Amino acid sequence: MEKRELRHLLQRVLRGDVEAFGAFYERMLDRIFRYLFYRTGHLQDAEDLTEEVFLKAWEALHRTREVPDHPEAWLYRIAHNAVVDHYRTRKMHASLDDLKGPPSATTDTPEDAVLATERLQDLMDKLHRLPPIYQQVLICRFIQGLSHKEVAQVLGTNENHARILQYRALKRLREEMAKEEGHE
Amino acid sequence: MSEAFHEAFSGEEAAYWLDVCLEQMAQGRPREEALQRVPEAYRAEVASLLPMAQALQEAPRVTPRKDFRRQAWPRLRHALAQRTSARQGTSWPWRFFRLSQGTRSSRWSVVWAGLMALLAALFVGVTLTYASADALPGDPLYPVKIWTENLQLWLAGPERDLELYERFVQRRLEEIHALMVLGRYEDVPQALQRWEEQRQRLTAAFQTLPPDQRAYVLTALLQREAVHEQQLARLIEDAPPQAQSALAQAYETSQKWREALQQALEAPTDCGPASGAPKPPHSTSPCAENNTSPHPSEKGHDNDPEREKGQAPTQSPSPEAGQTPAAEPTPGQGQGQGQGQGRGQGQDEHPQGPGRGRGKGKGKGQGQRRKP
Repeated sequence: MEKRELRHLLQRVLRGDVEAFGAFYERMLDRIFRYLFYRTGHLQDAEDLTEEVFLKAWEALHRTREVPDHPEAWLYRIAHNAVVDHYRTRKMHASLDDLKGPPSATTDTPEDAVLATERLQDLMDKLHRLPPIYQQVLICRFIQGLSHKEVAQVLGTNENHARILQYRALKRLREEMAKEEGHE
Repeated sequence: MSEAFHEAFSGEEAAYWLDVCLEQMAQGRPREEALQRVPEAYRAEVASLLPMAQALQEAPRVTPRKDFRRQAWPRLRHALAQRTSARQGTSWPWRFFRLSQGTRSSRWSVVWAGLMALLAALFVGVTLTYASADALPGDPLYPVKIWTENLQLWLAGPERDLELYERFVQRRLEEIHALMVLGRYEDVPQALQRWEEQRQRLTAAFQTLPPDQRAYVLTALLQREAVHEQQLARLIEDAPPQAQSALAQAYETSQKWREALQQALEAPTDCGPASGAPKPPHSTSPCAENNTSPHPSEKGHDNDPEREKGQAPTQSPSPEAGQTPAAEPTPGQGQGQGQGQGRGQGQDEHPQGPGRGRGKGKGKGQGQRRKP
């Protein structure tokens, strides 16, 4: 249902309706920002990349003049490429200080906010020790909540391979956590 | 079985059971219950991975800052507007190219492709036409020249056929001359053949003329033919032995043709061309009386070599014309008879006129001029 609505919005964009792109942006903003934030670990980079991703999406749409079959997966692919370009051109500077006062995690009390920030910091730290493909699978599957089919579309592979990648990524994360506990 | 293969195989199985277990938990089943469905061989492995998956699922739901949310869309919209205007404002040739590539609708692409093909064809056509203008018989572009002349005839319509054929006959003679100058004697017979063909077409076009116009045209043709004969005679003088026979033959043909024209002009028959011959201008028939306006081709008589020799190939066409120069000769009204004398003599030989007019023209070697 949502896929159809997104496609409809993009069709309107192709007919020159900028406001339709605004609606598409509103729907996808949080998801793309979250993905980019977990991929980069940097607030400012995530914000900059978010804008860049939507600009690239607009350009790609007008260049190909074709509405993608799976708009969400298409946008995640653009986001993934933006992250790859980002790491290629700049040094990774995932300073964890940036996570203090992070994009508002949905918490009720200041104590919860502190705990959430610590948990986020810990998780980001572990995630960024994994290879990019594993990061991508884990973020898409568990943080963004995509199905195996959608993850496969983002990665450009099949569902079975996406399932195996998920298993291997979790195993690798477990190993990283075990290493950390061993050090402690 | 190698350890790596075993790991890969077991990994695939474990991945499957991990997924089953996660789906059960996503549907709300307790962790232990979900694990019960997993075969014992994989249960421990899957159980050890579940906390990782759970930790990720419980990751804070981060959202963009309010400032960013507020400012991002206007900023993005501004950037989109800039890019849109940049796309629309690209240079003209690039936009043209993009249109032809079909970035617009397919209907427009077809129109643009057709237009471009038409422009290309026009460009090639014009270039070939210009390039073939100086082509000679035996040149690769000579057929293009002939084709262009045929196209010119087709476009001009039948009323201009005679004028164009006359021009093309002259052009063929110039080609023969050019071939001689270049020493391309082997191409001369072909050029002569073209010249003969063109002259036959000229005759055919002549026969389609209305009877009342034939006398003027015939007069003009005779004069032109005399010029052509002179040109041929000069060519024969300059020609080497291998080209002389063909040129001599052409000269003979030309002479015969001119004689036929002359006879046709002098024959007192009706307006219709007897065996293709036109009616002479001094005929008493109504068609001769209708000959009231001079033919445009007579404008060139001043330079006519026949005139310079003092020969008078034609006569004053009407009785009135015969009278007028006799009574009061006016400049340009008689037929020039000798350039060296400084005066031309007008002569009316119209048999049916009221009298034989004879007057003196004032102009040097003046050509014939008919007065209605």
